[in-house]
Amino acid sequence: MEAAIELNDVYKAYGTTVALRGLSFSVPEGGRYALLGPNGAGKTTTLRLLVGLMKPDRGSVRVLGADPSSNYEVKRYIGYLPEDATPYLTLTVRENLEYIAALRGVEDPRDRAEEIMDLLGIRQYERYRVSALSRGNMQRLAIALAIIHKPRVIFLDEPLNYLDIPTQEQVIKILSDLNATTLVATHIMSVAGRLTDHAVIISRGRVVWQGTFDGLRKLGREDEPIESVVARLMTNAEQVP
Amino acid sequence: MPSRYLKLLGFVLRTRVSRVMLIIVLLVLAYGIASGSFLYSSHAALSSQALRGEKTIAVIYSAVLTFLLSFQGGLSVLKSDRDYLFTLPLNRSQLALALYIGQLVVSGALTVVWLGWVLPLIGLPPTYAVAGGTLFAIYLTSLSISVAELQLRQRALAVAALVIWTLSPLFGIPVAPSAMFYGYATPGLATLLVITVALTAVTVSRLSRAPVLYGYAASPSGFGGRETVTRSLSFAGTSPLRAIYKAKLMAISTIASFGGVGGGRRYYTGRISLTMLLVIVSAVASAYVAAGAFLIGSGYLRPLDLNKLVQGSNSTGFIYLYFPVMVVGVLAISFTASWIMLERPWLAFTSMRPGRYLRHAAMASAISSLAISAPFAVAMYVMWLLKLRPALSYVPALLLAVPSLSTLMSLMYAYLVITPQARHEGVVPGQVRARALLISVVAMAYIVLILLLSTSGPLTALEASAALFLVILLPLGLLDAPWDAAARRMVEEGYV
Repeated sequence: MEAAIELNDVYKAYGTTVALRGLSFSVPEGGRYALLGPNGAGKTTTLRLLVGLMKPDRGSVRVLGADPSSNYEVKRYIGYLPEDATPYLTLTVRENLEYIAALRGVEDPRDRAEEIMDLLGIRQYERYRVSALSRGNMQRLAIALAIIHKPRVIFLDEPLNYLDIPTQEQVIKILSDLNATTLVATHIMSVAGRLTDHAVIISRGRVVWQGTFDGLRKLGREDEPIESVVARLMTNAEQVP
Repeated sequence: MPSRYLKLLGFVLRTRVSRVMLIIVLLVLAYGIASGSFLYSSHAALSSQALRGEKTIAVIYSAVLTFLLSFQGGLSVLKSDRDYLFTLPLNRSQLALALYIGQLVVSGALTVVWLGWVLPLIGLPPTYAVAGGTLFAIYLTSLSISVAELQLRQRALAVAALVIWTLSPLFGIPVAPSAMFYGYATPGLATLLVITVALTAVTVSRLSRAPVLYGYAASPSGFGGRETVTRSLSFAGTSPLRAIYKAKLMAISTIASFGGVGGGRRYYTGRISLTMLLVIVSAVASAYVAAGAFLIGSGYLRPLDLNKLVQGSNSTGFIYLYFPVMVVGVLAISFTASWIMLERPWLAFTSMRPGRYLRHAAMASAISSLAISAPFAVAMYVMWLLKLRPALSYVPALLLAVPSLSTLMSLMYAYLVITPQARHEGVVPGQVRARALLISVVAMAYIVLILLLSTSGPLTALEASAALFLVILLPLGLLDAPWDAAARRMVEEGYV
């Protein structure tokens, strides 16, 4: 199967701080992968490169076969939800949705906004300015904005943050029904397990392990929690010079 | 001074001012002292007309500084100070003094930049100039802390009263904080000393009790912080580029900071439509024309005798023509800063080419700055018809140079990432960085350039404004590449 997401020997530094050191992995079309790693491992930088917000210093980044930082057509098919995402504060919920739908060239922004407000249960707040929303409702709106154009590839950074349990379940179902190639950056293994079936573990800007969740479980003892297995992999990687 | 106190002072300074900015502040002070000494020892005596012109400029700059520092406020007490410093077993008076000095470093540097150069040229003895300049910096620091505590309406009234008082020496009043800069050396210095001592004592005392006095920040009363919007914008059937102009012009974003001592600096957002903005500015411009007609009728403005404005031969006329350009310029810059601070790369830059998005958003911002300046351009034209001849020179400056300034500032705010992104309303951690000083110097130089060129006659003003338009607005309005670079810098510097 052709890769929908592909990073090949990617380096990225912020001044003297190196975030990614030769990162390489790929996700096949339709694949659901979790991007796991300790704080500062390079997860957020990886996602920013994949959505074209930044360019790598070295190496190549491809999404659906195109470089997202220079091929603007491919942006049409990409959805992105950063961690702690906040929409436009001075616009209302509906205005945010219609505005982004229009920017993305969605055929009927108004209808799509209504459809997605109903889907995420935020219709009653449509006239609220974003600055007046609770953090949970702001997260629902952010998810709606990330998927309003029905992306084929979606990048999510801690998507279930701030959501109550029923809403988490609702969002997991919505994201599954999208049938998009998915890469989820998270610290929480239960979130990774619900949204994805493969894991890429990175540490200090490099891949330290990748495979299925079943494969990950097999690395540990029978009664060992998966969090403990992941922690061991990350700790071992941290100790490599 | 005990080393413990120096450590505290160092910590407070580091949380407010970046290392580069601190070095610049020290350099500015050193340069101010050196150039002041040089000017005192070597400059030739100015003619009485030129001297009056310099004095007028000193008073006007004092009023501008009073406006900027008292209305805008400063860093005073950050949230981290309340959560950390005020919980430590520190002497509250020493802590308050350290916080005050932290504020003084920022406002003192601004005072030296704006006012320092003119002090040796206004005929004051050196001791008076040093004492007056220092006291004025302390006075402004205390204002920036105390007036910023007030709610918006009270603050606006207080600031208006302070600005009028600061300008009053131009009308012969010797008892004012700026009076010593206009030749009233002794009564002016005495007035400045009394108000500075009184205001600073109250301010330091309130700083020492900050967490007790203010458990929460000032509410945004009077600012457009409503929860819901009655008339939503619709983007149905709108192309991507039209959507940008619609969003940026029908809901022009504004951001303002409130809160003083206890709450730190809190940001609140608002929006206004282009139509409403035009209505408001047109009303103000009409009032401006009415005031001008009254001043001409009552003899304060001499219509045909304003060709030597810069020399200060008619200070009322100078202020009358100078202030709108100054205020429009400052407003255009603040609108620019607002839209950049409220931008969302995760939504906008992932929807289309980032440079194209930023370019059109900057053009929309230039249009909103035109909406502020165009009614004043019409007002200037009307004043020209009323025989206030120099007013005509300000028309091209307002129509061409102000939108170009807005475009230049958009690129600088984005590329240099001058301000942190406003992710939420509320407390924003603040540290004054050298690049903020850079942009204020560029903006000030640009506005002064416009004013100087406008006093050289309508043709020179037209040529200069057209040149600025052609060099700045036109290429930046046509090319995506500079904006692409700015977009990348915004993301790499932390904009989400």
